[in-house]
Amino acid sequence: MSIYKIHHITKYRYDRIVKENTNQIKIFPFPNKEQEILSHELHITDEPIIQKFYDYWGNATAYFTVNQPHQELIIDSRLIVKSQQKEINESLSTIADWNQLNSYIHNDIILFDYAQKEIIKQQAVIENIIQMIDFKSKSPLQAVKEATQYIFENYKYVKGITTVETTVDEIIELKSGVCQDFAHLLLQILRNQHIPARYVSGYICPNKNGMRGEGATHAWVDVYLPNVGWIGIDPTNNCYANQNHIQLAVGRDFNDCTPIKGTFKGPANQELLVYVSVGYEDGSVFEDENTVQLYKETPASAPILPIQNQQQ
Amino acid sequence: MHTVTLNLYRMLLDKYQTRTNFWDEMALPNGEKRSHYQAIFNKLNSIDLDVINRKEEIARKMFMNQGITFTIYSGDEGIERIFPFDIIPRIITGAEWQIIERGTAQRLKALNLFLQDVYHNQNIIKDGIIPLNIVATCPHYNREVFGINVPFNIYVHIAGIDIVRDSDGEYYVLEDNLRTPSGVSYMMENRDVTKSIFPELMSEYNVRRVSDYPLELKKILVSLAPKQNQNPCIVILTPGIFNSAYYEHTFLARYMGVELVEGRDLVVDNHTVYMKTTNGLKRVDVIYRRVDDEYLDPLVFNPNSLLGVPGLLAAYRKGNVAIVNALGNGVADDKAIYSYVPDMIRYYLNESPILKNVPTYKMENLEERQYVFDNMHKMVVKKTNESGGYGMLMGESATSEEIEQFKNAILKEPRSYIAQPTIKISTVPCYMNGKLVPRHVDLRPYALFGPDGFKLVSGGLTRVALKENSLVVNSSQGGGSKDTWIID
Amino acid sequence: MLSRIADSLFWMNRYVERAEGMLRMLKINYETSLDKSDNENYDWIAVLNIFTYLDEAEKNKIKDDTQAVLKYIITDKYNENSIRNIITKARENARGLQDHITREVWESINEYYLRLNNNRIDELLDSNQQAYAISSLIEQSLYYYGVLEVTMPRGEGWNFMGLGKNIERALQTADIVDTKFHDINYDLNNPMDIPYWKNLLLSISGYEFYLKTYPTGLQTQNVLDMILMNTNFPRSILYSIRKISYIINKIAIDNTEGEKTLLRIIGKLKSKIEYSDLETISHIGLHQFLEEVRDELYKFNNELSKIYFAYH
Repeated sequence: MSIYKIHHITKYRYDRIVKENTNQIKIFPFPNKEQEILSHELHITDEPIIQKFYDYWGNATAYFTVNQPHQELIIDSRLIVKSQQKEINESLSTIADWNQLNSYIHNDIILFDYAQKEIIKQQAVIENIIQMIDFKSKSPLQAVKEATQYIFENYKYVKGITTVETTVDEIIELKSGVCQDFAHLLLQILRNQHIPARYVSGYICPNKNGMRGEGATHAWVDVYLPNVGWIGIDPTNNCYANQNHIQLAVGRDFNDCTPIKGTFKGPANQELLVYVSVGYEDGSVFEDENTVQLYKETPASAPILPIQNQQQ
Repeated sequence: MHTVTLNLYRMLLDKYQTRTNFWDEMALPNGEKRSHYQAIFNKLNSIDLDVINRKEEIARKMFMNQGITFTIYSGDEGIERIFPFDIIPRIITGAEWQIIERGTAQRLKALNLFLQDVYHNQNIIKDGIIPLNIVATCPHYNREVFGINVPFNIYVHIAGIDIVRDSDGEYYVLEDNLRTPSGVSYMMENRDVTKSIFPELMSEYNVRRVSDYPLELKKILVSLAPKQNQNPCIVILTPGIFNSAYYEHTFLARYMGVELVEGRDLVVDNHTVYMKTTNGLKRVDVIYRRVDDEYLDPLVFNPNSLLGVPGLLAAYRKGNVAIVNALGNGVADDKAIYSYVPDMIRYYLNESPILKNVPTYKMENLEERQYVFDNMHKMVVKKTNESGGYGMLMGESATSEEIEQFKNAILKEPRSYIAQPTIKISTVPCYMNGKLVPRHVDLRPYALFGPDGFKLVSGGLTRVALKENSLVVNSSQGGGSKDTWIID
Repeated sequence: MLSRIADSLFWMNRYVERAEGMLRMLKINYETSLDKSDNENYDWIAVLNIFTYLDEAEKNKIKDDTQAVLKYIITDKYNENSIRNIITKARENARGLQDHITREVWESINEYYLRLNNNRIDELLDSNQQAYAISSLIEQSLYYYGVLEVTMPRGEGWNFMGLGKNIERALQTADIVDTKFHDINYDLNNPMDIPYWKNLLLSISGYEFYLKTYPTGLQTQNVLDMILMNTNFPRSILYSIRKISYIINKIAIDNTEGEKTLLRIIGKLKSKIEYSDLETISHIGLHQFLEEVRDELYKFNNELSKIYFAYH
C-alpha cells in the first residue's frame, strides 16, 4: 500500500484574447477498490462551476466554461490517493476459458464494445503476432502476458515521434512509440481474439523501480478475463498494473479518456504546459514538465479588404 | 369550334390508364372510379384544360414568389429549386386515416419506450428481444447521452413516418423518421396553394385542417421548458442559410413566433444556454433543433463542427434546456433496428402491430444475405445510415454492374446494409402536359407527441415520383409533392 | 434582438448603399468618358483608386478600357469588391433575416441579386448598352430603398439598418472627396471651375442642388462646404453623421460604459465637423482632416460591433 500526493497542472496560454472556452475533463480517480481518494482539490482559473457526472464507461467527467475574455487557463488538480496492488491468482485463468469469452461479450453491451477490433491496413501483422504467441494453446491470461511482453521487447520506447492522433497502422510502421501507442496496439491484438480490453489513462508514480512512461501521466490496458475479472497490464513496462498505477479513466481508446479537451473562440494560437509532480510518503518528489505548441487553424479565407469595410 | 376542343381534352382526361399489378387510389382496374375520387374527377372533366393549365401556372407562381425552394448542391455551387408540385390533391378517406392514425400512435409509443429503455436499463436487450450487437454497432447509438433523463420521458416529439400502399392496398411503414423530419412546411404551403386554385372542391369535400401544426408544436415546446420558467424562451436552431431545409426553418420560426438561431448565436454559461442579443445574454429554455446530433456540441461530438454549441450537452444533461427531438433518437430509426419495431410493439405494449413492416433482410445473416444475392433484381438495397434516397439500389432497374458493386460493398460491411423486397407502391392521378396519368407515391404524415399525448396531423406530405414508372419519390431523385386531403 | 440579426441588418444596408454609390460613380464617369472633346486624356484611374484594390500595374493595364473597367467593377466574380459580390453578400445577410424582414424586402434584394447573376447583364456590358445596364441596377437599389421605407416596421432593426446606411455613405463621400481633391493637391484656393466639379457633383446627385445653393464664390471652397457640411444635402458627411448620432442616441439607452464610448465618439465627430470652417481645415490639411473623420467612423463601427454584434 502506498500514499501519493499528485499535483497536476495544465496551463493553456493564448497569444491573443480568447473567449467562450468550454472544456471537458476526466482527471478524477476511477472508482475502484484498489485506490482510495484521501483528498482531491480542483482549481480552475476564475473558479467556474463544474458539473460532474459518470460517462458511459463509468468515468467521472466534468464540464466547465470560461466565457469572459482571457489569455490563460489553468486547471490545477491536487490529489492524495492511497493505492494498493490487486491480487492476481494466475491459475484462475485456464485454457477452457476461451469458450466463455463469447458469451461474456454477447451478454454485456460494454464488454461487446471493448472486444470490437478496428479495421486496419496492417491486419496481417496483428495476425502474425497472434499466431506466433499461439493464443488458443494457452490460458487467456498467459496469452495476454505474452502479447504484452512481445510489444515490450519488439517496440522501441521513443518520445516525440507520435501524437495523440497516431493510428495503430502508423505505430506498426514505426515499430516504436510511447505508452499510449503501446496500449492501442495491445488493445488491437487482444480484441482480435475477442478479449474485452479497455484503454486506461492515469498516472504512474515512478520511484526506485525506474519505470518507463512519458513523465508521470501514463496509459496502459485493462483486460476482462473469465474467472479473473478486470486486471491491468502495462505494455510499456511489461508488468501488471500495480500500486504505482493510479487509474483516471477508461474507454475504448484514448478519445474516450482524453483527460482535458476544450474549444474556444478567437483567432489565437495556444501553448499547452503540463506539469505533474508526485510526492511520496518519504517526502521525496518527482517532477515532470512538458510544453506542447498547439495551433488553432486560422480561417482559410483571410479577409483581403480592410477590416472596417467588410462584415466579419 | 370551342366545344370540339373541349371534348378532345375530355378524352385525354378520360383515358386514365392504371398500371397493372399496382393499386391505384383513384381508379379500379376496370376503369371505374372509387367513390371518394368521383367528384374531383368529374370536376376536372367539366372544366376547360386551359383553366386547369392556368391553375397549374398560378400554383407555380405562388411557390416561386414565396421563395419555397430547396437547395441542390453540385460542386461548390448551390442551386435553389422549387419543389415540383402536382395540383391534383391526393384523397384519403377518414376510415382509412383512422388505421394510419392508430398505427402510427402505437408505433411511436413503442419507439419512444424503446429509446427510454435503450438509454437506461436496456431491458429489451437483456430480455433477448433485440440482439445487443445490433444496438452496439448502430452508428446512431449515442453513448454520450446514455443515462440522461429527458422531460416527461419523451424522446420523439416530432416524427415523420413514411407509409406506402402495396398492390393489395394495405398500408406498410417504410421508414420511421425520428430525428429531424422535414417537409412539414410543404404540407402547409401545398394546402394554401390548393385553397386558391380549387376553392370550390375544398368546400365540396369536407377536408380536415392542417394549419394547426405550428401552434400544436409550440404548445409542446412550451410544455417542455424547465419548470422555473413562466414565459419560456423557445428557439429553432438551424444550420444556417446554406441548409437545404432553411426555408422550412424560417417558415416555422415565423408561424410559431419564435427566434431562429444559429449555433454561433448561442453560448453556454454555467450549464445554461443563452442567446446573444443586442441587450446582452438571454436565457434559452427550449431548443427545437434542426441540426443533427453529431454537429450539436463540438466538445463532445464532431470537434470540427461550427454549427453547434460547445457545452450544450452539459446543459441538456443538467435539465437546464430541453432539446427537441431528443439526442440519440437515431438508434430507433436505424434501418437495421427497423425490422425489430413489431417486436418492440409486442414487448412494450403487449399489442399486435396495426401497421405492417416491410420484410427486411439483414445482411449479417448468412442465409438472408444469400437469399438476397440470389434475388437482387427483386430487392431494394439500402444503406442503413443514409436517407433521402442516397446509397440505395433498386434491383429492378439496376445494371448487373451496379448489382455487383453493391454485393461487394455488402460483403465488406454487412452491418451497413439491409434489403427489402421491392414494394409495388400505389399510384395516384397526376396532371401532366394536359393528361391525367398515374404516378407512384408515398405518404409522410407528421406526428406530434407531448405531455398531453399523441396527435397526428390530419394530412401529410405526399411525395410523388414524377418520372413515369419510377418508384423513387425522393426530391433529390426527381420527386415532387401533392396536397393530401383527409376527408370525412 | 439577436446580435447576429442586428449585424446582418446593418451590413445588408451597408452593402446595398456601397453598391449604389459605386454605380452612381460609374454612371457619371461612363458619360464623361464619352465626351472625348472635353476630356482628351480621360481615364478610369480615379475610379479604380477608390473602388478597387488592384496594384498600379493592373490599374494601368485597364485604365483606358471602359468595358474592362465596368466588367471588373460590376460583375467580376473574382473581384471581392465587385457589385455582384457586394450584392451577393447583402442577399446572404437577407437570407439569414427571413423572419425579420418583410417578404417584399426579400424579394427586392433577391431580384437585384438575380439581375446581377444572369448573363443578361454581361451581354449589356459587352454590347454598347453599358449606360442602360448601370441605370437598371441603380433602379434596383432605389426600389430596395422604397420597399424598405414602405414595408419595414420601425424599431430596433430599423435603427441598425439606418446606422449601416449612413456609416457607409459618410465613408464613401469622404473617399470620393479625398480622391478628387488629391488631384488638385488639396489646394482649397485652386480656381477650378464648375466643369471640373460637375462630374463629382453629379456622381453624388448634387449638381442641381449645388447650382441653386451656391450661385457665387470660389467653386472649390463651395463644393467642399456642400459635401462636408451642408445639412440640407443628404450625401454630405455632416448629414450622415447627424443621422448616425440621432439613431445611436435612440439605441444606446442603457448607459453602459460601451454605450457611453459610442456616444462620445459620435458626439465629438459631429462637433468636429460642425465647428470646423474651411480655414481650420485648410490649416490641418484636408487629407489629414478626412483621415481623422474616417478613423473616428471606423472606431465607432468597431465599438458598435463589440457592443451589439458580438456573436462570433
